[in-house]
Amino acid sequence: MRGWADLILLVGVLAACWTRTPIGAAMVGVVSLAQGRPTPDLLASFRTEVPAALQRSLERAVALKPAEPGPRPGWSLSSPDGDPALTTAIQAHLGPEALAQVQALGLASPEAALEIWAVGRTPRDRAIARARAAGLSAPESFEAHRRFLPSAAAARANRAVGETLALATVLDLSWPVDPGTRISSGFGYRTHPILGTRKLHEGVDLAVPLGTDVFAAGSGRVLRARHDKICGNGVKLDHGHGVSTSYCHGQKLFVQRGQRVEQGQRVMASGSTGRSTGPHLHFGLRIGGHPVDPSPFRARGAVADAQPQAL
Amino acid sequence: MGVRLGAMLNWSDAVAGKLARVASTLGQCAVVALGVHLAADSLDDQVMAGMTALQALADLYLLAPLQGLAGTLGVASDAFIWWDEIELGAASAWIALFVEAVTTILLWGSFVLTPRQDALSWSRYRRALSVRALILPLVLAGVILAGCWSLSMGVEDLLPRGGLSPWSVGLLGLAVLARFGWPAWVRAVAALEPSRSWAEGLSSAVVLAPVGALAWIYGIPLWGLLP
Repeated sequence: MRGWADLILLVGVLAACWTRTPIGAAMVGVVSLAQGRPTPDLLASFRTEVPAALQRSLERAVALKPAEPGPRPGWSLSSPDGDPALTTAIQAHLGPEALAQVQALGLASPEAALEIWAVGRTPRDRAIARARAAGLSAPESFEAHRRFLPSAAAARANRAVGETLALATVLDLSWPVDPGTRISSGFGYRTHPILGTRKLHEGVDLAVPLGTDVFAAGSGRVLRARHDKICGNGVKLDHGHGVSTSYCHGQKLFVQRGQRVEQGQRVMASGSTGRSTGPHLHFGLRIGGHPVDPSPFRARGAVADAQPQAL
Repeated sequence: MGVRLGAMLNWSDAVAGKLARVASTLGQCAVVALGVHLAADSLDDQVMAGMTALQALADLYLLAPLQGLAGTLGVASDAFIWWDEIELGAASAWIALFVEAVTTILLWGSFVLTPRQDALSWSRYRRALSVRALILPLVLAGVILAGCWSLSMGVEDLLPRGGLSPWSVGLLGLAVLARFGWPAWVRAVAALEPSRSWAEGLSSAVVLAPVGALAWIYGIPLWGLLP
């Protein structure tokens, strides 16, 4: 009897190890390799955002994007017009049916609604209870309890919550200068005007005269506000959900590291400092640390003149 | 005929005994792996926070001298000037994965690759006193408790709401603790060799201690019950 009990416990422990740990993922990988199938990602159990998976949704979102992004009145799912960026992000990333289903849940918190839509109430409630039992503060927040979700549900929750909210954050960004400003050098590989080598231009260059006010594309926290030899006087903002924007070659900075900024707040005056051949603003957008072309997110009707070329 | 049957029974008994030993070791290794992963999952966030703080410090104190040095030497300074563009999320996940692998191997080795001593002896432990002897039992205990909880959570996740109460699932965790966790801890502690110096195990403690601390902090479902 005790032998059978031990055997059942052993099978349970091994199954849990197989499904919940990178060691299990490595073993699945070996089996998959032998069978010629794709191997699982060893880091999958750690990551909360998978930016590469967002690329297709970003493209879909651009087509659905509201004409005039602007300051958000507050997260709201109570009406389809309550938060255009969020509803567009859900439609683009999770599908139109998902939007109706998420709204039907009738929850004020989009984070909770998206998580319940993705994994159901029971796994979420259990994860919150576990986070509370472990003594974590604010166990209701997705970030606090996500590691206590079932391993199979965690990936779905990360996609629904982490990626959708990242996408909504990007859709909510505004342009840092007049959206009609000409893009003098677009995102992509180009021959660097000073170095002469082929490099990825991780943002867009906006042709603005010296001293033009540059505004925060979205609300957030200042990650960097300093001078260096490449960016010159530069600012980098963290907008949450893995989204950040950067602004380079400024003449003067108006914010400090760690400061909270609101969307539309002046962060610097444009200039030609750092590795620059003339006055312009370099504007970069990153999702989960990956550079993304910001130009599709300009307000509709703006002048489109983006080509990867030397300034 | 009777002699042959007796020999066969003896043989099958010996095989079953060896299989049980192997099965027990497998279960012990799995519990430890589960516990280490629960701790390493938190380590990922801690490394991220640490690296962000480190960047802030370097930004304040290192950037200007490094830029000056690069200017003096006439070398391109891209490598470090843009180091704050490092993808911290991926970097911290890789570090956590590396630490998890090293910790798992070290902890497995503490009871699998040592001479089998199934009984604890205080006098033997005193002779083994060193950094390793202090750190290993604590780390292993935290990791094993976290592993048992992780298994309980896994079982609970398979059940519908109301299928089993959290306390029943907790009992399952206690059963795993009794059958695999406790024997693994006893094996590791009983196998500690007499130490030649206090510093023995110092290098491995650098990896083990953070994981053990995180296992105790985030891997035990009791802290929330405290006032």
